[in-house]
Amino acid sequence: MGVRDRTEAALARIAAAPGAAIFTRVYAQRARAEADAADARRRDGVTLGALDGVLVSIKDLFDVAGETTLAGSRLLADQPPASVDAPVVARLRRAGAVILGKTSMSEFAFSGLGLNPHTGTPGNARDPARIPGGSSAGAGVAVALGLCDIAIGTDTGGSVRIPAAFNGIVGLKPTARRVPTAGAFPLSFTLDSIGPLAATVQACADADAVMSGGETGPVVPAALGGLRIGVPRGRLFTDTEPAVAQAFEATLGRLSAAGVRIADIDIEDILEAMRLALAAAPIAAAEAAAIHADWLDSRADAFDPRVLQRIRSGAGVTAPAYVRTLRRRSELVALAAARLAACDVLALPTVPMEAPLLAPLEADDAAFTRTNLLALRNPTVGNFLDLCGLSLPMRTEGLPVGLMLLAPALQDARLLAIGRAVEAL
Amino acid sequence: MTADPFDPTRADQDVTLTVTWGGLQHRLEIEAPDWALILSGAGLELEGEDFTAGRDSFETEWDFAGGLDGALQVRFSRIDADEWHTGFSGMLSDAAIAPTEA
Repeated sequence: MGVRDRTEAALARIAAAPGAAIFTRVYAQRARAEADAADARRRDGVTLGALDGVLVSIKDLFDVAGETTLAGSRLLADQPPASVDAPVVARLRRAGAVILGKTSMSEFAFSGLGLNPHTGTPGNARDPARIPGGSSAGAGVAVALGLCDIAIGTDTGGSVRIPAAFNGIVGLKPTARRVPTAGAFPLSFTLDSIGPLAATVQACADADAVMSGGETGPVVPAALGGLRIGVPRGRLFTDTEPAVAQAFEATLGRLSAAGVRIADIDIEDILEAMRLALAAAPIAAAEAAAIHADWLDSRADAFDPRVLQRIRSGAGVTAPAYVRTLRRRSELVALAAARLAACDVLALPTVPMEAPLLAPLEADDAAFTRTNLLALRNPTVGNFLDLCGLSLPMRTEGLPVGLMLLAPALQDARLLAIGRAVEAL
Repeated sequence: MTADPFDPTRADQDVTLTVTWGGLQHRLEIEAPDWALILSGAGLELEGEDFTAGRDSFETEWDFAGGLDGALQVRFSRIDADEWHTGFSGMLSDAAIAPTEA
């Protein structure tokens, strides 16, 4: 099937998708032109690489020249349009990707569940009555429903990996500094990273290579024999639902049978220090409060109240507390890097639960807050400790659940090779 | 025998929109796949027909958001000038919607 035919089929599926909350914006005419160009290149025997003619969506927070970036909010509607594409968008276009449109998200990317009262919340791809996960909510659902091949999201505390886990697909949070964040409306200057969601590790690797300015190529699976996986049992395993625990232990069993050396690794001291540091100054909330300072009070009624509450929690952080937390983070990043030298990757459930039902979370603030914090708990470790992370779907008879692999900073290629091997098990 | 009444909520048809500004009528023919996208509520931008006013020629862009009950904005620019102005800003329901004549 040609790229144009695939594009038309995708546009028809987007139009027919349940609810209108998956894609906030569709670039139908431009996508058709990009698809025709890709088909023409194919006819001429020319290719721009692995993403040439691949159908891609981008999260609602990326700049596209000529339009205002909304970031899942009403607050930015009166802002001027972007003058240029975000660098990652420009790189995707140069690589021949067909950009179908923008996908929905939690307002300002500040929730791990994917709810958005402004644009509506897309239903989970497996069960529309359940949440999609967030904040890259539409991204996960779009890939899982086959509306696009690759979705580009952002991950500040799990916003790529959580929707990947809940929708049964692969999500990559790269080492933050590898992919330029310019032109992506920020949540946290310190913790934001840009990563892909797709059906396979290879597709994520291709998108990551293009967005980071590297070369695409086949990911050679790592040898499982002798691979060392550390399991950080402790606080990251509490409140894990039985279905998730069962799928995780079964996955470890298959890995062990394949020759992987699996051992518990104790990082409780690092996690406790991280908890204390963030209690003194929540980095994302403090930075978000700075980003939104101009309208945090004057336009409070335009925010999602739950997002407003989280941002306001950072408004009272003092400069000394913020600086001390950043300094403490640097120390813990170094400490974690040394501790992780004992293994190749950490393995743990991406999220300790299956996707919960949407309606109770819409109705109950306390349930929302409790569930949101639990969904973010494990992925956030990767952002705080400057790691790269991958969520892979685990085998299960029930709803999708994710296996998270975390590797040291800048070990992204190694992480993808390990992920490719685990995926093939 | 009479024809079925036109139903704009049907996604499987070509439609033509007409809005008026500056004393001129502006039309946009929309093929069924794009009409389906517009009805879905997703934001969508379509290039419209060029028009002439005085000695100048203009291009148009039609921007939809929110479905049949949502917003419609039509912008125009002198061709190749890339200086866009708003010609029409309102609701899609403010436009005249009719089946595209064969």
